[in-house]
Amino acid sequence: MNGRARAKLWIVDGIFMFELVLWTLQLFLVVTGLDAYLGGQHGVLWPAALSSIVLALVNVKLVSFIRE
Amino acid sequence: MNARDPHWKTDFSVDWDRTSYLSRREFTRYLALGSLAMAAGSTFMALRASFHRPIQAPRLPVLRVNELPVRGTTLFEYPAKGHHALLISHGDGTFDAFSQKCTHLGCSVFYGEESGQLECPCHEGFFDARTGAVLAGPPQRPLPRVTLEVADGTVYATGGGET
Repeated sequence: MNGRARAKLWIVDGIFMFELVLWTLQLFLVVTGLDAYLGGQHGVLWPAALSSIVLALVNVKLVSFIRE
Repeated sequence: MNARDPHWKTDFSVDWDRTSYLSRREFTRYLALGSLAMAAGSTFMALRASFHRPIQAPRLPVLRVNELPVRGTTLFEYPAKGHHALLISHGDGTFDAFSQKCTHLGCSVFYGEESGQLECPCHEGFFDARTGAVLAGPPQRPLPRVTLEVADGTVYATGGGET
């Protein structure tokens, strides 16, 4: 593996780790939102949804950096 | 395969290179898809909650006083059909009613006659049968109380319950 390929692998791994962290945060938001929704506490749902959308957009942007 | 391979390789011949292999790049893309799905789910819940109309709680007869069990429960639907509530007779002539839906993830709670507590079988949540307060387990909020009134020998549900 040459230096350029190694650098690419590092970038993909870095993006993968970031994605994994953001994905876990989103999972937490979904579970918390579901708990609040079923419990009738609707005040937190929009902040959770908006945060989740922002995280999803960041994830999609990160993935767009990966080329074949 | 070559002659020096152990016999299990011929019996269970899985060629790793030929099986479907998910690369890190592909897996990262699937993560992003999952991320979009979770955002859609959160938005759906928020939208549904925004259009949610609280149910008007009517005054409904639940049962006659002489039909009350000495110690035990009576299941009824309040404030609307499909919204189950539990009327609990404590055995000392007093009774209370609560929504049957657990405040954790919505499972149906039941009355444990031996423990004298309301129990959620899904994740072992326990509620006080007189106040609906959380005693143990993952639920964070008390069970919604259904207010009761006795008039003319009949127990009426007059408000509260699942919203």
